[in-house]
Amino acid sequence: MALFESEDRVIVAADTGPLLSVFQSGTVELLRRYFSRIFIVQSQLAEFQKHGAATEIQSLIDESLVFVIKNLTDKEKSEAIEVARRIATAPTCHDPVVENHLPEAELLVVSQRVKIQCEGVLLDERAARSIAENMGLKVSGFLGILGRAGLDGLLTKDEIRQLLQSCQRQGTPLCK
Amino acid sequence: MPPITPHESDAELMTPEDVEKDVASLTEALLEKKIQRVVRELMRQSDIYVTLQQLVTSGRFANEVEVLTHAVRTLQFAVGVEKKAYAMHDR
Repeated sequence: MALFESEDRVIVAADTGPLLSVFQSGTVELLRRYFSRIFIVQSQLAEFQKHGAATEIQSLIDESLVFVIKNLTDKEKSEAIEVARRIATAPTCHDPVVENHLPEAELLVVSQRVKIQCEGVLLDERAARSIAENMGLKVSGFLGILGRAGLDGLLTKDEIRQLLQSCQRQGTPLCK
Repeated sequence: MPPITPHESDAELMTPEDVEKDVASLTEALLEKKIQRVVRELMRQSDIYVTLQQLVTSGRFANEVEVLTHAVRTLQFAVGVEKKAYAMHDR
């Protein structure tokens, strides 16, 4: 018997990276299994478009699994710029351009809105993860989802290995 | 259909410790959700809710958590005894 019933799903805010890995590996079903709502911000839509996943994200929006937060307040915008700056200057960050980190920074800021009842964030970029943890957010990512699915008997070790290899073949190496 | 390209192919890779933390973090969030559901379902049963309140106000238990802990341990003991009895009967 799985430890969690299908109704024990959580609300998260998800960065673009983990969702792209889900699309690359064809594991969308795991999102439906573990999450009742997934929030993203408007600026991520351009990223999905750029990475060839516009159709995939739109279909999750259409089925009301993914929700797009469109308007950030002025306060949230200025907080996001500060968070993006912190990500860009983190020792583990390979991209010093602050603007390039705005989508994930905006996501981290809006995930703290009380109204959306976010219970965690999905984030695979190490620099942003450490900033998120410093903000007191519960962080997981694509590998966390695969690992949980393994523990729940939804995936075997071999299947997880194959999924990771599939992501790697598509240019997304995930772990050491 | 064009392939889905990686988000950041040169991003720093996750370590096995990161992965463990990821799983633990998701598990914790799911567990929190499960606890909320179980408590909600339990409290929705009016007879259980009333009995629970009566046991707390009896003064024998400090709060609801103590009542439920005691109840689960008692049940666990009873099930163990029942199992042993069946095993002896089957011999």
